[in-house]
Amino acid sequence: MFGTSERFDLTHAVYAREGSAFFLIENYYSHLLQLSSFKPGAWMMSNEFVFTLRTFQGGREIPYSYKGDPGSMLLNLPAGSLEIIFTYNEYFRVSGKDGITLRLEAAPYRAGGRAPEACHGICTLPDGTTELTYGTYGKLRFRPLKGSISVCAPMKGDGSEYTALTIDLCPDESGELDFAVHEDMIEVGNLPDSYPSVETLKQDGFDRYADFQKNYKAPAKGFEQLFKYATHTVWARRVKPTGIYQSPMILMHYEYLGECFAWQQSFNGMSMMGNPKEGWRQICALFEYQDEKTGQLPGNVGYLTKNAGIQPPIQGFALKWLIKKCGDSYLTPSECERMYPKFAKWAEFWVRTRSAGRGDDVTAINNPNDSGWDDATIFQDGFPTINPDLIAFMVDLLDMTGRLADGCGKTEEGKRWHDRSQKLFDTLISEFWDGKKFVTFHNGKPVDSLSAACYQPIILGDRLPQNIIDRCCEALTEEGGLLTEIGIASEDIRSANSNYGTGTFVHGRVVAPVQLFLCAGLNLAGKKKEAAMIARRFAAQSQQKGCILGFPPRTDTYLATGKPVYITPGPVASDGWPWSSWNACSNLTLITCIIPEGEEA
Amino acid sequence: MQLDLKKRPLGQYLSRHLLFEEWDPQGKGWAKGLYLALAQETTSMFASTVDRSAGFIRLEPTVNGAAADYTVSADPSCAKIACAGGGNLTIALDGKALLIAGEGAGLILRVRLGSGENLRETERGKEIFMGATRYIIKPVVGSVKLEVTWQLTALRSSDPVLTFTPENGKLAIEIIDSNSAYEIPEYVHTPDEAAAKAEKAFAAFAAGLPDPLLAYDLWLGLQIRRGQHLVLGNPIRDQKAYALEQTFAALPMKDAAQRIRLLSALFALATPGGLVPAWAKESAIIPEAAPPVYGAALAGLDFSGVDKAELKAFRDAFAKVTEWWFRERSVGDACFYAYPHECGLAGKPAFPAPRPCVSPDLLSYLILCCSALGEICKALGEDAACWTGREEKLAKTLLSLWDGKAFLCRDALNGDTAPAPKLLACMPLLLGDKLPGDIRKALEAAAETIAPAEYDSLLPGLAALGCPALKAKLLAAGAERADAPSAAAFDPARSALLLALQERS
Repeated sequence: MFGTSERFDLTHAVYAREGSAFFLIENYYSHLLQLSSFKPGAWMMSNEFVFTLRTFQGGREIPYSYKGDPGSMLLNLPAGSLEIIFTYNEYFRVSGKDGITLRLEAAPYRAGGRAPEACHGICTLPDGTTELTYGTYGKLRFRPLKGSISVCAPMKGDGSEYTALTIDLCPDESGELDFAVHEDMIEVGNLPDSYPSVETLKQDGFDRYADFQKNYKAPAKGFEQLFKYATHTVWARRVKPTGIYQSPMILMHYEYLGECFAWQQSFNGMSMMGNPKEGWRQICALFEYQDEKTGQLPGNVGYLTKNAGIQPPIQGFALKWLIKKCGDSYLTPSECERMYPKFAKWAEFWVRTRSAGRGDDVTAINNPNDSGWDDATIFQDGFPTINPDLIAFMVDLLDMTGRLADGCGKTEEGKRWHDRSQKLFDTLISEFWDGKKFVTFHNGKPVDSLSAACYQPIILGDRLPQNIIDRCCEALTEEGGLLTEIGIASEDIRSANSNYGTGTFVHGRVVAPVQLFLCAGLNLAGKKKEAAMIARRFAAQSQQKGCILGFPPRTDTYLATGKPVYITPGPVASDGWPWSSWNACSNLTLITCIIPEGEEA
Repeated sequence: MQLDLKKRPLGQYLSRHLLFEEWDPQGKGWAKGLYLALAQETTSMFASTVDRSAGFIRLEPTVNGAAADYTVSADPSCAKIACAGGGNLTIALDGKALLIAGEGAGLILRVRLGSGENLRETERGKEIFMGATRYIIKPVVGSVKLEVTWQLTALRSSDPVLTFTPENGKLAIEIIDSNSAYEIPEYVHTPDEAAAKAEKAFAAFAAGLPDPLLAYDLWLGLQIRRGQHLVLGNPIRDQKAYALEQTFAALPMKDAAQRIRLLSALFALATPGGLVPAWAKESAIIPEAAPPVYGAALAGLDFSGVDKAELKAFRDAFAKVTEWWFRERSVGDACFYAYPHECGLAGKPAFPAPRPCVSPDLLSYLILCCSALGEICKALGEDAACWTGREEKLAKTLLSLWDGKAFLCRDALNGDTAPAPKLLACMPLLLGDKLPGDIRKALEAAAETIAPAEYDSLLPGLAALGCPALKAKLLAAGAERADAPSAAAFDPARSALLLALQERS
């Protein structure tokens, strides 16, 4: 799937697999593969637990090409090959028969990194294994099954830190090499007595990937390639229960933001329409970390820690989507009994801690993370703000909390939740719709914004009055306004505030989750053709460029100001943004549901 | 007892509020003046957090709305600010509450925020949002004006400025260190009441300790991390609780139960396998070993007065972390360091090659651990043979490292030997009478030649517990080192060591 001569190499994408901490990228400058682990949670390419892979044969370094599939990564040399097999366990295997030595060289992603220095120590242990300790980055343990290990690690004169570090995995006299390389963030425990065969491990990768794909419906014609890469991107970022992960969740990235972000779990759940039970489980996974006392969900969950930040309450919308598209067979009474109190606590957390002080369920926020529209122009006047985009999420959250109450026989409580949802919905329409768009308020004054966020309440679908649906649809399909050739811009491209620079997020770029919300909303509002038209544009761009989170709508000049667009070509993606499961799961909803439904209508 | 806020902050046991004077002794360009810091890790979502080493809120007293010159005096209960124009402010703490009262003076607070952080007006007051922390500032008497703007693409606000103006000459401000659940324990509402409480609490802590100023450092260093009461490296500058330093903090404590509680807090951080992390902070532990010096804080203690259930729980935890060394770091009757840093001294590898090293200091520490565990078992009426047997074997292994003049290190895999670094070679002094007289005498002579530069580490202090000559030298040098150059440099563990050395002189 990924390789030197494949559709995508690893300069932009990441090679990984479900259940393994390891990943590989191609260094943008050296074109050599680099190995690391997501578990340290070292963000923004700040990880120093990085090894460049070099190959040697006959005492000389020989360049390699590579090709990775769900089973293994093959390093091809002119006279032989070497295979790296990531596994569902805490180790990877290295296997070869052609007298090739694999060197792991501690080297940073980029100049200025401190990769050798980050190693705190190396030790050959009495059991014949060799361990590297990297402090908070974890430990690596090299176990030779065939072959031997050679370490070169000179230190500074004062013995304080390493100046270089290479670990050579050398073949035996017959040219064979077989290593198990274990990782652990705390301690490498007892090593297994034996290992499955390399072939068994590789087949496990293929089998698990094929099984995972069954969670999705078939893609629209023409998007088979995107389906393959998108499902692989999600699968490869699926963590198993380990560390503080209690059940499978989906990482956002490996090298950039290597944790499971809160609302993205629901984006992923929404997309699993081939197996809505798994989709519902995916939505619920975050609640395993709910604060018992406050009801708060974490902003993101890493291997060892969860972050106290907040992400928007999308869970009601996600559940509504699954019900609308797949029915509710997975909402058994016992499941409703289990999840109703958790949804209720989460809803009350928002109402209690984000109250706008009006005595109703209208929320006000002091931080853009609460809305998800981080740097959108709806926040240009500052905080606090009262956001219709967030209120729309709350309408669905209250409603679906009522649905769960209904599902476990608590119909009176259910009615109260539905009534609250309806009242909040009525407030949204009467106070936040200005006839053309939904308006954010700052200190009681409307914020003048051309952000796509102004139309996000379209997620309420056919619950909205038809005139509002029609107007939202008109705005979202206006060519040269919000609509571009590659999807909906997060800020109208005619806006003087539009900015696609590397340091921006939803300030003008065409970003995956925006397509998901707005296309899903149009679809639910009956505008299926228009939703499919927009979805097709973004999916086509992703199919061509890869599962990158966002794309600049223009690369020459800003329409309103005539100023040049500066998009920094970065080492990890065309515009500085790496492949992301957030793009992949958004696209999976677009190509397996929204496009087919819109084009069949 | 007066506090110089340029050298140590006004703070309180288990409180995160810290008030200090920055005077930029190292010329780093910090704006001089009075600051409030919070003993917490930065928790911003993205890496570009503000460097808070000079505090995060600058306090500027005012008189008639204009910045005023002022002088500060403080003791462990409160700080008093006298303005040149005649006004004054009093600041005191009661746990999570910091209380300010003014007469004829106002106050400007200049807040420094990091990426993703924010200060907004809520129904609770002016509220700073920092990760899970909610720092709530509210005027009780007087008025406040907030100046702040949002920087849209930077995802942060400008640095907010809060200007407090007195009402009829009087000002009262409450600053609450809360969390996202807005949990706020009961607190008193005037600086005078808070000061009286603080004075009493500190007096109880310092009772019987030989130096109140050093006792204050230790008191201030005790914070809650990962649910445990631990001593931090420095609450302003270094939020880590170091394993090695917990033993030093325990040394001056008066009875066995106090020491056991502090070490129990440390052992509670151990991994499931029993590895005590070399340091821990709220967001992470480092899963690397520090030297197991705990036995030094337990040697010679009378455990008979300790509650049996507490002692048994401690025994279980202590045994688990000691077993880790016998399971993960042993060959035959010897235990070894796998990595040089495990000895507690950076840059002191006995073997530069990546080889496990049997070292006399480690054997000595483990002998003390086994000895203490044996004594605890006896106090519990249990069989101590397992631990006394191990102690004997380790003692034999230790003596096998003696070459007649000094202790050697030994490669655990091939038996090669090499001289041990001088400081580590002297650490068996800790064993006191357990060492043969001739070896002890030779080590005492060697210890006297330890270079003063080595005193920067706390380990010589352990050796000094068994060596009167070294103790005297360390006390002389330690007084100078405990006199921190700035509030961000005071060192609770070093102060604890000096207290212990003073007590035993």
